[in-house]
Amino acid sequence: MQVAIQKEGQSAARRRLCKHEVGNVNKQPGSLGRLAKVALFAIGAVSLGAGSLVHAAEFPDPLPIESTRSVAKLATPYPGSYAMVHDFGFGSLIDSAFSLVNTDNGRFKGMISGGNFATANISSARQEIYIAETYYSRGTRGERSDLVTVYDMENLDRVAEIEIPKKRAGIVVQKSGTAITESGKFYLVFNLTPGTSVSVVDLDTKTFVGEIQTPGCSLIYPTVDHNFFMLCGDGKLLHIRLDEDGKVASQDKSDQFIDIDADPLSEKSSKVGADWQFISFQGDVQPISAAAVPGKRWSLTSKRERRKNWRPAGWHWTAGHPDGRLWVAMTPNGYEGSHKDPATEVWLFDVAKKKRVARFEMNTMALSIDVTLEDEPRLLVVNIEGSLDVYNASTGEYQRSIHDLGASPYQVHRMP
Amino acid sequence: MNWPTNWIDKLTQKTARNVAHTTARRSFIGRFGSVLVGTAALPLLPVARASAPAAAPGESARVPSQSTGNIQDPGDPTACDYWRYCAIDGYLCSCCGGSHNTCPPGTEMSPLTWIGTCRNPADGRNYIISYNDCCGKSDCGRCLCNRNEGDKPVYRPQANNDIDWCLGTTTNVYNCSTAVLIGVATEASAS
Repeated sequence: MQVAIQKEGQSAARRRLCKHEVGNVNKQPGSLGRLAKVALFAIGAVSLGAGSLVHAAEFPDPLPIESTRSVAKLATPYPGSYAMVHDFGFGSLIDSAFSLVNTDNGRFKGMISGGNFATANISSARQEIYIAETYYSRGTRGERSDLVTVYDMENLDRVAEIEIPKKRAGIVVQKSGTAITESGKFYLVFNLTPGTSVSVVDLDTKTFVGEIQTPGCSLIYPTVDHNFFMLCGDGKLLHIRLDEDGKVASQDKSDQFIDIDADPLSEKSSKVGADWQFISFQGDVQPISAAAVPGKRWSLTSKRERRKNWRPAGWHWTAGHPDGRLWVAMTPNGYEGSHKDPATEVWLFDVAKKKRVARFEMNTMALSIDVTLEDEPRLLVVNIEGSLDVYNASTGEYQRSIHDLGASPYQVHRMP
Repeated sequence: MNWPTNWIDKLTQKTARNVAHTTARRSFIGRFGSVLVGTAALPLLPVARASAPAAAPGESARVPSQSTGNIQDPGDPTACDYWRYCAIDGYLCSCCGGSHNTCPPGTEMSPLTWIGTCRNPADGRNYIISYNDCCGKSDCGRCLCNRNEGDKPVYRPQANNDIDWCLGTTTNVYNCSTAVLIGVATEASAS
């Protein structure tokens, strides 16, 4: 049902898009001010010449007058081919950005400004985008504001600013720093002071409803309903279930299942169906179920590939699809500390079979990946040149690149 | 703060950042150099070499070299291979108006930090190094130095290099990183 709705939405959006892709819609066609008329006359007088008079006969009517107050709107819901690229804002971290692009044709659709160490989450159900961000009243100084800023998807304009505790974690481009619960009701923000906690925002009322202390445990991975888990510095996980008011209904901690010193699980994880798939630095897959129970580990690599030190690499190196497929960015010749080197290939796995299905060589080395939820999914790759490369996610066939997406684009978000 | 990785060379070069080299970086370039040369955007090639030891033949250093003035504390504090930087990740304050253990004028040193254990090649001792960030001005943008050896995920914050350590300061706006010697490591704490 959900798929059908999405398809219908896509086609409707495409029809409406045609209008906007050709040109902006004038809000107020018609009259010009006196000054503007004078200015136009002056420009026109300069540009009049013999050549233009000759062609005037072929075009008896002048071009229509255009509004000077025209601002584009986006057709909603967005097609599944849209994606949002996160520019960390290197050079001026207090001013980050998110660029909205259509990976189907390479067009730039608009952008959202973010503050210091911003994160983004998108709700297709609410047709809203949430940016968690930190600002100071005078740029690099003054009073601190930590906000969840809510944007509508038609105008990319602010519809709410929700004040949250001035504790949100400053982390370099981190998808798990914030999350929408699976129920869609709560928005969760990870805090690090360096004490750890979670701020809870009610998305129905657009209000901050409370803070949960989570000593020693970090980041946010939603499971089902209002529930989520966090990973802890002792190699365990903390499973928290919220009630309808956003308060803790119950919580429990797992046994230790991560050996952080020997082979930690990267926190840059993706969901495949109901399960989160975490990948260790050495290339083991650690599923965690919707009940927040760690499953049986398996390896991405064969013994031979391990000998050649094929390892996961990049920034956000995983992408998951509800159909059971997992994409992982990989690089050969790995070593201690290579886990943030760029990746030369992306490998595709069938999670149920614990088997690799394909491997794709990247045109340009990869930093972060994601996969769209279209009928024919696309693999989205932010590369080391700061461009977004688009491939067929099943075949690896290259489709296009989208360039100039900010000073330091590190990550890409698909449409949910 | 701790910082992203080698591949940000290309991204930061857009805004004329100076990037210091590490052993890891050089080995990375060695492995992928031919790939990079073949790409149009020249990902790593024009990137600034932060200091003489890191400059390739025929290239000039973009940052004047420095010395601690103490032969027992050898190396160039503007170079990423300076011994104290074994676990650093950020802009080197030595290139930003401060020094390897001093914040630039007008910034504020973070009281909270992450810790590394580095071996001094001169006396052979292992020292505890505190990588205090300097805060309150926008990113310095010079001599970016990153090493991910020993880096752990965010859920072990004290060993993670993605976190902004401008904590406990007036603002969390990050400027650069220092490497302050705070003790001699015992055998047990050395790594």
